[in-house]
Amino acid sequence: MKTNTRMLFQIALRNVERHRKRTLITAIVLTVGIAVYIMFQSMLAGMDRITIDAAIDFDNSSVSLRSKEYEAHAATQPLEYGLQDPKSIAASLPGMLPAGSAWTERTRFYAQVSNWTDETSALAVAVEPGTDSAVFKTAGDVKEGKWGGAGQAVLGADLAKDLRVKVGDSVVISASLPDGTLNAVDLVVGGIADLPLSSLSQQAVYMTWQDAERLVGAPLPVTEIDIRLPTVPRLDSLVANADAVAAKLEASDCGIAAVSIGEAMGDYLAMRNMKSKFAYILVVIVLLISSVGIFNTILMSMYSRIREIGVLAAYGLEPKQIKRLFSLEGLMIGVIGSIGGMLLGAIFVWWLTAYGISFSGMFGNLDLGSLPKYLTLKGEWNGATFAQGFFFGVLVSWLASLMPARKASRIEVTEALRFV
Amino acid sequence: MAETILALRDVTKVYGTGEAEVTALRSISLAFEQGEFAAVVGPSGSGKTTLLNIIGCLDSPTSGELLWRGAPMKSMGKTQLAAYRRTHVSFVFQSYNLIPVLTVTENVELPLLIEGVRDRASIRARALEILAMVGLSDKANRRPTELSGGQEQRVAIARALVKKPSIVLADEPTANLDSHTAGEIIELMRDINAKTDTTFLFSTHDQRIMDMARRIVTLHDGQIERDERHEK
Repeated sequence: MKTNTRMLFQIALRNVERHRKRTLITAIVLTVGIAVYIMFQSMLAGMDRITIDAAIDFDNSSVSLRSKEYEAHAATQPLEYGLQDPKSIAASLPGMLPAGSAWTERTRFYAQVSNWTDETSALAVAVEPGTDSAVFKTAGDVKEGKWGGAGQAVLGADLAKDLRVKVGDSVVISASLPDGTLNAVDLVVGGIADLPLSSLSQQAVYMTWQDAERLVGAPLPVTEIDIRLPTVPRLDSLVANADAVAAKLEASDCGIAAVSIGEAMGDYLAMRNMKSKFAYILVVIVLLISSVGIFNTILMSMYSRIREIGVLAAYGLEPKQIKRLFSLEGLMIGVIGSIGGMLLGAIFVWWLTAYGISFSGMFGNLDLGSLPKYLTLKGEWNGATFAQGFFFGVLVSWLASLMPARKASRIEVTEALRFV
Repeated sequence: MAETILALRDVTKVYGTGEAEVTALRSISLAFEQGEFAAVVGPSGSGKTTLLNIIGCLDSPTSGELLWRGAPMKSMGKTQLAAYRRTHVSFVFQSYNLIPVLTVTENVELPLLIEGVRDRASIRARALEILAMVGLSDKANRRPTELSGGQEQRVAIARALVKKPSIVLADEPTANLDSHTAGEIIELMRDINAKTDTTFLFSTHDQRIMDMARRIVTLHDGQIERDERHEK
């Protein structure tokens, strides 16, 4: 460091130290601003994480293999477009998936569920109870009754409530078959699943493979093979891994569509960028408020040291060096405030990752779309957010100090020395 | 005969315009030699401070010119004038103007740091040497707020001398001091002047201080009324 710069640094540091209260009050505004930004980003990332996790755990899995025809008509869940040879596809998976992956077959189709009095539309899901639990967490959310019993159906809690049925009651499930005919089976409510996704809680009826074959005929087409990949801490990596596996499976030339969680939740993930921009706007507003404080602090510092400026100039300090002296002070306040913001943000993110915020019961039966109802919102560590917060804080402080610093550098020496 | 280091040739300084116009200096021509110990005296508003400011290149004349060792300084820009002040001129102010956040030693080191001297050890050694000269070695690590007025002014003199300037300009250096301390300060400046051959030019109202000067320039209404030399 040049002697001159070291001297300016020394004077700036001592002044920041001397006006400790003023520095602290200004830095605290910045600290809060940056901490809020870090917290907000962590919560957004956490919210995204539980949404994507819920989609993986209960609906889409990490990667879902379907026939290309089924994928093209996915909105109608057409049974006639099942996978051609699901057994051989499943047999090829071990060599293509990372260690720790699991998969299961599922078949989805639209059905009607009746309690013998009222009838409502439902999403029937045929499952292999044994392998399904390795991929999905639906079984774990069966709060009443049990999962996977023959001749039994597990209903989403809201659907059961809507139909006013409980465990042990009888329901009739009917479905249109690929040939256009209608068939129905009589099943006992074996369990009620308190699912975090409203859409499933309101519509899902899970049944065993055999019961589904009784309803739509054997052999039951397999509409999807759902794969769970080993979980990773960061959401971006999770989505990227799923995308990479899906691309690899599609490239394997077995004529299937591999739908990754990134693709399945594409619209939601696109909104992430929008939310992220919103967070940027928030931090810009907070930092603008902070910048007014820093501007004011540097201006006050300048006015209280006009004679000092005069002395330094009289001894030959150039205007640009005087400007540097005051912008250094702004920079120092920025560094203090930004470090404080990162520390405060880190404490919150730690708390959020360790304990989280429970959503349970917070929204009652309110439909939260893709956001799960009964999960705990956890934060996510993101080094880039911390770096951005620090960078923004220091940059804003420096920019806010430029105008008072320039003003200081333009003071006439003789006026400065006369200043009382 | 000693070398003329600084000369003013027909310098006039006017502040303001129109009805608010005030002529602070009128056609001043003066020359100062190396090692002079001169006082600028005169009533308030006679132009003493303006004269010192122009000599120190803190202010520029409206007309006329300032010559440094024979070279005119009229065409110098702000950066060059700052360089001139860094190298040749030092100041002692009426209210000391020490930097409160720095210690006594750091205040004394300041002009050398501004000048861009890089050797930290030699800067520190020089500061301590000059502090010893003004009798403040024991206050080296104190802050200015812990010193008396006389001690603060001694630090200011040490700060002025540390870079071995050609000329020290002192604007009413004793105005804030009691007469005993003021006498000590002027005595100190005269002593240093004798030892180092540094030119001292100071403004004062104090008759006792005037009596200690070897040259007295008396200003009145911006004009030189008298320019007397005394053998002391």
